[in-house]
Amino acid sequence: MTQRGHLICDELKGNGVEFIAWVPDSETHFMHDSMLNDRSLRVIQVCAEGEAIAICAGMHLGGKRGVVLIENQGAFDSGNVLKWAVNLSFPLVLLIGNLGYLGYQNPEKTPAGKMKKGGGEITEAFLEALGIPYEQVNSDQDVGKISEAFSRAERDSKPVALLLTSADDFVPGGKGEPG
Amino acid sequence: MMQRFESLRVISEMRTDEIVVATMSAVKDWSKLSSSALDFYVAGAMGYASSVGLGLSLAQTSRKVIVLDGDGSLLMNLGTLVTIAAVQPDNLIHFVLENQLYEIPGGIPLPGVGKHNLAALARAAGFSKVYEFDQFTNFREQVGPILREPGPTFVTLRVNRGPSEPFPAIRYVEMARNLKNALK
Repeated sequence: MTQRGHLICDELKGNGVEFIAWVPDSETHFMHDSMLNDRSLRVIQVCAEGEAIAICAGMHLGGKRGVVLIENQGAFDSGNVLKWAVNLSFPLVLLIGNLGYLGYQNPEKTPAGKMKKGGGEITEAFLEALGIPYEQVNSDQDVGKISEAFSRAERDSKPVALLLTSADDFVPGGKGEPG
Repeated sequence: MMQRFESLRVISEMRTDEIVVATMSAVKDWSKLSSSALDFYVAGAMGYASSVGLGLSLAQTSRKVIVLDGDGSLLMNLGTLVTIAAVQPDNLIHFVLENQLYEIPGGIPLPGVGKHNLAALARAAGFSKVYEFDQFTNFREQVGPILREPGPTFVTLRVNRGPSEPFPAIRYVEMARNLKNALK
């Protein structure tokens, strides 16, 4: 376990983020305690990922900054509302747990490796199809990319994604199969 | 059964400085009733008007947010009821115009018409303030207090199918910019 959850929360707050619209995700489990215990961040837990995107769009219209924290599979489920956010030029920052990416790099290392196509190929192709730029956040040193994403989203008036991996041996739900 | 346009006209006459988020068929009527900078239309993201409204209600806590949703739209994002009831925004009023149809693609009946009950779903999701109207006179008498009381509030209106007419041309990016500027 790293301090990445705290580093990311600090980076978000440094960019004026007040809300995180969230569906729990095993890849970004390192965020959970950090953000839920942070009194200056309000976590809005939603039932499905598309809600998170639309809620952050509403916050943007209302003059507040929220970020979306979801899993890549939830992003796939939210293709239409992501398309809408692109069409409306909403400068949203999307934190996407890139389930499967590490497995793609090393299928024996993580249970998510069993669904390697989820991360290594589909997530990036999916975002590219929508015209959403993305960066990888795979280490503590990558956390600074979050500030760059906010700048880019505002400059280009479009959503920008950050693909997060856990970089540890966390096994979601024990030793069972990944979702 | 109520006339949708007349029902929305009553809301428009009572509206003061509330934000209005409308979607699908409601846009056809609301766009004839209002040209406020505090209006926003969700098109191209069917089901998500109430989620946009929730985001606005969290960002603009001193202002009320009225969502004009459709029944087919709500069925595409039923989890929104649970989310809103969990967050409990006291400034959000979620109207659902129940015509029991996908009106825009040609009036196709919704799945489960006569079996599902959206007001009951809202209560089961955790809304404590739920109203159902199918008589215009009752609605006209009660909508004022409903708009003024603390929410979150869920209101279903049994309405007729609207006239066949083209969807209005909306400049959505400009509309979003105007709303954002109006709320600064």
